[in-house]
Amino acid sequence: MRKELPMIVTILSALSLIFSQYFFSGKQLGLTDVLDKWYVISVSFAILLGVINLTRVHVNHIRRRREGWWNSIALLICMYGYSALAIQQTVDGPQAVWIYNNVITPGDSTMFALIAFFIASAAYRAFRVRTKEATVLLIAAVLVLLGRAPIGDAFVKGWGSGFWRFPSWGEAADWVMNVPNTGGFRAIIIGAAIGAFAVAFRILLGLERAHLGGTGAK
Amino acid sequence: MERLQSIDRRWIYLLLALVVVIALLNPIGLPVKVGNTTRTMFEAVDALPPGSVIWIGMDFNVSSKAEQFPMVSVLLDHAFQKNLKVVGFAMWPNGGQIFKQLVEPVAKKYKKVEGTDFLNIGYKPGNGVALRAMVTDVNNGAAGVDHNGKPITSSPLGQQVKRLTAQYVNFVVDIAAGDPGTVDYLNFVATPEKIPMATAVVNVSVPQEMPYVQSGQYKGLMGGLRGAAEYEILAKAVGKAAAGMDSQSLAAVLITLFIVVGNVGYLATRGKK
Repeated sequence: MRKELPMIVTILSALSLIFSQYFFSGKQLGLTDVLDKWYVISVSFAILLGVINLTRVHVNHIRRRREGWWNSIALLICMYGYSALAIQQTVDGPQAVWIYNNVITPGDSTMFALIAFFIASAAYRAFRVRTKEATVLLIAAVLVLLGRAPIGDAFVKGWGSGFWRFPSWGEAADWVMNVPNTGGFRAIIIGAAIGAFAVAFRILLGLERAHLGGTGAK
Repeated sequence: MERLQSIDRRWIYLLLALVVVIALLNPIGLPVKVGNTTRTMFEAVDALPPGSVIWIGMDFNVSSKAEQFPMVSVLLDHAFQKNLKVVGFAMWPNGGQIFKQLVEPVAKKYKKVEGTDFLNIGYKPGNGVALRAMVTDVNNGAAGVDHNGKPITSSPLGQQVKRLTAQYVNFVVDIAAGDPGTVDYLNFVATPEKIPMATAVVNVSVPQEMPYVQSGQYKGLMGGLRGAAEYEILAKAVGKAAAGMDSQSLAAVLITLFIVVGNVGYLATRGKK
């Protein structure tokens, strides 16, 4: 029953959603609202489950003195300490806001800002004119990189009009974004949507079981 | 020539940091040309009559602060200039707090009152489903309370915006840095409820949002810090985004120079290898 029960729940949930969305009587019954509420409650419980799981994993790290076990202590102190503080004085309390503004915000922003340095280093190492395809990629990258910044238009302003228009750097970057990029992304979006539909249909029919653990497809 | 291909990454980091800091401290003032996507978004918001309700999705975290805080600030500035009413809602846990942090100075500038001119619903779990619950009933979807823990229906704006539908909300802007975000708004709000929508995303997300701009599903897009700077120029509320443009420009030039140097080294030594 470890696999059958979740499969029955999945199929019943899927059928209820289809009934509530595609059938007039389903809409009249207000099934969508009920299912949405259930979902929100389940997600809230999932957060609790996540906290329990995180605690178990890190307590285990500390007990076994695994490499970097002191980081686990820091994690648990931060998680439970901030939660207790936020519960005691709400997330808008003075200390909670101080920690948020002076620890979380700068720390998080720094992590994101560091990406710029890695991108600079990676671009220098990766963009080489090794093949024709790599050259096209390099040209597109430089066009968009400078075209998305005001300096691109300062380098090449563009001139002429209509058919005889020589594009500015920014216009060339816009063309890359609007034509080849959009075409490629449309293909990816449509392909992914068809793939998601196929997987959903397989789950509904009980053919796809990867989410229940084990090897997956029947 | 071989050495041109293997410059120590620490030099790259150092030069990039120097370029960014110098440009921030001594701005060159490069002119920023306003792009079509930002202009379309600005015009759509600008065309809303006073008293209209604009729903702002706060779906990002403080990690993208540099790009997205200016987006929210300038949008709020524009909305309050036009006497629009603003509702903030977050599918990301920190969204409610960020909205509070950003709306307060702008509201003070325009003497706007919480509950009457703007409402911070805050974060509600459930991603797209929470959003769909808002479509059915904002009060129920928000579990009855706003970000401050006050009953939603205790404020005039909370009583006015009963549902996230075209009847109650005139425009939606999702300020997003990932998932959940824009796609949820397209699937559950903008398309089924026929509410005009625009988006403001981090620069790396612009390519994946462009198909929706071209299809007309977004009435404009604010892309990255450049988009925020363009909007600041249009809204005549020049702020942090415009100030950051010189840094971005010089950093882009530096990265391009490194790419060129690396390729010169590669081409010069290719035959020898």
